[in-house]
Amino acid sequence: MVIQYIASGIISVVLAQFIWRIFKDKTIVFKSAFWIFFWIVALIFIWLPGGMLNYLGTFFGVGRGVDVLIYLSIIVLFYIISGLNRKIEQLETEITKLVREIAKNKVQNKK
Amino acid sequence: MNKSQVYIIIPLYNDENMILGVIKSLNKKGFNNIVVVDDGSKDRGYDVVSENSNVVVAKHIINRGQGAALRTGMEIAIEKGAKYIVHFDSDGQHDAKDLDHMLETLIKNDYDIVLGSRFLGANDIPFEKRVLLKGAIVFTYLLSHIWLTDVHNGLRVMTAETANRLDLQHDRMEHASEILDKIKSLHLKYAESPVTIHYTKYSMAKGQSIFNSLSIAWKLILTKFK
Repeated sequence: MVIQYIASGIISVVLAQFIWRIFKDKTIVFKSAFWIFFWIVALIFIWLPGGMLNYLGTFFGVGRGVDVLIYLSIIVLFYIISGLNRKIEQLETEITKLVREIAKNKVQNKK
Repeated sequence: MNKSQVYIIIPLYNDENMILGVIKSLNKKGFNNIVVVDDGSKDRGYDVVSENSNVVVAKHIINRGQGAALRTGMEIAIEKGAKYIVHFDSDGQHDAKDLDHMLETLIKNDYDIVLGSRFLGANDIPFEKRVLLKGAIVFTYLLSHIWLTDVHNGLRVMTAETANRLDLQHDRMEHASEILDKIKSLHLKYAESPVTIHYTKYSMAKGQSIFNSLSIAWKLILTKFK
């Protein structure tokens, strides 16, 4: 199917970028490992014969195999978003502390 | 009461036309320890205050919200030796005349904090505002289990120790509910005191919209369940 080729193309580009970055900076190997693994699994899923994917679907009780993927992706996305939210809140607090310190220092220097 | 022990904190955000009048009205009442915290205003508020008055003026280089500005002001005031702290709005809504009574109530009864209430005072409150505020009162009761005649009134008087203990964490408008929450959880001794609110077209336009209030309510619910 066309979609398989399009998705594979996009994933290959993403993977190539990761590999290129690791090639340039070896220290990010561990940071990138999760994402490389993630995209390779995605690639495998895309080319998995329909029967196998649907077997997975029946196993989880959601019918079509592709639905399993969609549900999983939503869960992963939510997890990532909540992590990002936490991070942003932390940053906001840190920024406020910084802004406050700058304001207070300026007042003190004026004395 | 020794007014030199009282520090007035005014968070300032885009109120360059009002702030000098507010400072003057406080000076007239004998309050000379004033800390204005410009919260990253887009207008010339900071310059207007520093060029035209003798008050302490601090500047947040970027906007961090009223809660953050109040905290900055309180920290500065406490470093300067404040014994009593007043939260006062910069838009001319509050009346300096109310402060004597509030401070007396605080000191004589040994309260930790005294909150201004527009519903106890003789105020002609616009209908839309009235509905919004009554809703906020119920909401606050459900969330913080504290029943007041007015919530989200920016005029408050407290001891420096209370200011320290409040340890405000919310940067934006949620700080008003956070204060009530902490009054309950820290078992602070509190009272309400009637205040006059001057509703002008200007202050109404700057006040909280319904949409804004809902967004605040939502954030508070989220923090409760964190």
